[in-house]
Amino acid sequence: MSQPNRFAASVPPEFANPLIDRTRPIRFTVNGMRVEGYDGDTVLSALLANGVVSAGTQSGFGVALDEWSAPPVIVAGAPAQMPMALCPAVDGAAFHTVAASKAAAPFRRLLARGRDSLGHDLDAPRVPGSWIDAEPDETRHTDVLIVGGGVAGMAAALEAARGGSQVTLVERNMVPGGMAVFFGKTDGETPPEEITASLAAEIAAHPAITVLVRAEVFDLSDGVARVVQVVRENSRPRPRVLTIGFSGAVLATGAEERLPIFPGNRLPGVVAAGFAWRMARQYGIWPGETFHLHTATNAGYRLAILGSESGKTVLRATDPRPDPRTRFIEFCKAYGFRLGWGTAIASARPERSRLVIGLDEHQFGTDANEPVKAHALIVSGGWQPVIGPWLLAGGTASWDAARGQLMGEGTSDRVVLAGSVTGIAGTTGCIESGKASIGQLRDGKRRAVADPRIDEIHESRDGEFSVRAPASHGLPPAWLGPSRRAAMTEPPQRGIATLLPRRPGQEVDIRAADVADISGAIAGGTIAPRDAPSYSAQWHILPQAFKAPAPPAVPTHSAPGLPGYLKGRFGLSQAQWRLEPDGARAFEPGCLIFINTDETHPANTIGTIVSCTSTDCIALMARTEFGAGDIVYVRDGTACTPARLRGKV
Amino acid sequence: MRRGFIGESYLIMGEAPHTIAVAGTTPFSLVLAGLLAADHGRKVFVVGDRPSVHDVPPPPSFSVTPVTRPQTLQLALASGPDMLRRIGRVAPDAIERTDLLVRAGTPYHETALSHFRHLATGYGQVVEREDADGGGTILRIRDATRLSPSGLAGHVRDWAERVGIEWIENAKTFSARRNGTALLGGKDIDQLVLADDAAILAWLDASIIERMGRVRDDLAYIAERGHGVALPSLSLADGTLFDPLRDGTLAIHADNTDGLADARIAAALPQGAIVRKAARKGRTRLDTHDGAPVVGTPPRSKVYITAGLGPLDVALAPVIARHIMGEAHGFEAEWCGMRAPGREMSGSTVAEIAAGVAP
Repeated sequence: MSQPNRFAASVPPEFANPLIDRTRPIRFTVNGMRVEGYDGDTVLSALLANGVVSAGTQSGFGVALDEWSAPPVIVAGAPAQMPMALCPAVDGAAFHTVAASKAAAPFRRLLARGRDSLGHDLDAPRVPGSWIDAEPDETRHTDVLIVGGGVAGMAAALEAARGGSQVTLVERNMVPGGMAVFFGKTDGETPPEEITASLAAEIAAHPAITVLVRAEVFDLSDGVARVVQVVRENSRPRPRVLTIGFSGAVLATGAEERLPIFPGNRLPGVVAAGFAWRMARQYGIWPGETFHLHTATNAGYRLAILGSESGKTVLRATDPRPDPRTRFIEFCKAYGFRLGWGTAIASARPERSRLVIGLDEHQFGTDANEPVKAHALIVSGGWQPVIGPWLLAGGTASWDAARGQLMGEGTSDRVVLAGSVTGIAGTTGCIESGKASIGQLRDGKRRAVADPRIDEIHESRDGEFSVRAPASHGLPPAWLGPSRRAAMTEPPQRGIATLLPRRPGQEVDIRAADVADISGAIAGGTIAPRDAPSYSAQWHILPQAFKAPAPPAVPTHSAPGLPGYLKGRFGLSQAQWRLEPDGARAFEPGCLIFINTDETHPANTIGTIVSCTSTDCIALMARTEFGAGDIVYVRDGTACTPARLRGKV
Repeated sequence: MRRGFIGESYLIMGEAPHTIAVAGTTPFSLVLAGLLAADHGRKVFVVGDRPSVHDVPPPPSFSVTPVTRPQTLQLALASGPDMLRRIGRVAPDAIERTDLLVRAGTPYHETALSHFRHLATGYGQVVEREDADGGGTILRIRDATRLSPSGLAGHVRDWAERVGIEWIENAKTFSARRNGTALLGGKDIDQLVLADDAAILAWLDASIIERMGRVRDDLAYIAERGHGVALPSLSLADGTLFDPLRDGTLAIHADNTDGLADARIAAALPQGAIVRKAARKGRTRLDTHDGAPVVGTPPRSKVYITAGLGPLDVALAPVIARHIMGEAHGFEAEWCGMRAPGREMSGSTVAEIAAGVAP
């Protein structure tokens, strides 16, 4: 397999130093399919480079392969699962993807559009990676745990280490750095490229800081983080689950891109701008030769510029904001891109290897005559702070309607937030926030952090969370979140169409929710904003399986005498009698005793069996005229057996 | 002593209240409020958050569950079917006929279940004994009616409006008085009813709560589909309850006072089942010391409280409503009087099979 999505020749300086080593090509297989790549690739990046852009099919449509949909992988012969995005591609390895179900072989190729899909049946129940249920391979302690190696995380790590703390920094990527460079440089400020390089170099040189790369915190509670890291061992990748106890933790988890909601928003070829940028910068990958950029953010326009400088064709750049202003637009104009403002994506549909992108212009309505046909639709829908670990750590969340974001709130024992996860946008602010977070860990006091921004006259704010419900039937689902937990409902069927079976996949996949799912559901109107705190607290949990138990002891209740529930059952004068059943038979406890064979109603009972063997039978009796030697009747279901009262116990 | 409680009960309820505030958000609280408004014609305010369809639901109510006091079962069976039928007209998806499995777990609970089985059979219920995997006893209570809280949640708003209930979600405008009345935004309310454990813990003096019972922590989960649990099932020994929901998920409720809810749940699940958590919610509950219901007003307070009714709560709601209104007579009044909050808990003559620790 060649690498159609890998940059061939000249690229802009921002993409000129990827993590891959082009002098060291590698070959491996995924599900038996041959994949080519370079040393430094992850399994995910290599698949994308080879044109495998779909994870499989859900609700009858393909689903883009990315960090959200990538199934866990295993190496042949080893059962331990690894996140595909963290797993290094290794020469000669045989990888297999793990999923509940794959499409039946005869249909897989049809569903898979040839060789561009992993062919998973994504309608099948989702199974999370096995690491979330795994016992730890290693347990360690650190003074300060930093989650996220962007500028805020790196600044926090250095601040803590300078104060004498032992620090562990956990970073998903192969190197720290984060997304600061994505947002471009601002006049008068040090370029983010230089800032991140300087911070990263300082961190690497500091003896008190341990950096775990290709590592992800998947659980955080009670002063303990659980981390999955993929390491190389004997030239083979292996997952390692670490339990890291901490005295304090800083969550510098940043922000992830919001997925604009429109029919077809998870089709193969629809790529989030931040993800596209990271794939380009780290692995030299670009999704197709032609693309449409749809951005509600200023930084999104940079993708048009960078893509064009990398030899790709920008067919059109649209923005839902009616009058966006940013310095990047001026560059786009200079490049001669066709720009469109006040424009929403009405839908995207697959057509051979391209997407047909329908546009909806606020002024002119849906422009059905001129859909854009592109290999890729790069979307930048704004940002959602990554507050998942914060919620797991006991923090709360609320919906900020002005921002269209779910924001972390409340407090959490020994855990604080720093950087863009708190809503800070600028690099300077993120660095200050990182430093301030260490002070907050020390004394519990939150510090105000300046976040200088360019005036709105020059740089518009991000656009609103864009939501576009399906206007007709037969369109691909408009997923509310990237993990495809729920979709916008289609308009009701009318006329003869009501007789047709309903397309599957429109119902909610009931499982634990990611933060992006929740914010999408709020924006899409399926969760009321006021319910955001309680919904987040209840539904954002780790989807662990209930494990084999060491069951807690149950009290044996071996106290002598009558059990409490029989006290006073027949009044304060009740007494226990010894009975002699006819035929020396035994009765179960609870059998009711009556004065004759006709009575069956419990209200008319005069006693009940307390215990009874074939040799000794004790009954609890109401005070009656009956005495020793009298006959009473014990009812066991339909059978009624006479028994003689022998005497009080 | 018993007569005194009954007398006190009549005395308090002598003058029926005109306006009633029902504090609580469980289905029982809402049903009780509905009865007071619809059947007794009172102006009713519900104090508490409206239930959300997205919430991990509270435990379901049943028409029949294991109890050992014949009077309790008799009352529940007398008023429950009609009550649940009425709810079914308002919220059809909240009511379901189902078998309920009850697992004993210990010899103590096996004996208690045996008492229940004979009692229930006497009242015409079909209750069958089944052998449990790995020993022990399981009872199958056939054809019980279940009220699903999540099914009800979606209809609460419309229904409340229909019967004229006013919802007070902002508790800041509401204050309770010890004499049983309440103040709502400067307006007097004749009677405050604390209708669920959360309301009792929020509004009642700690000393009264301590006399009545112990505060426990519960953990409720929604588990993903594919759990393999077909019927509602209750582990009597520790109170763990599985409640399969209509959407294919499983609601699970377990005691977490010692932090071991997950272990209890795992132990109660079918062997080999991989059941994944989807959502979680912690709640506090009040276990009465004798495991029996508490209804009425505590000594030196005229706030009406209900606690410990268990899954029979909705079935017993009409009885409680009549008692609040002073319209309970004879058998019902005696049953309520025997279960007044001020009763002697040690050596209680109304004690029930308590989940967890026996009285």
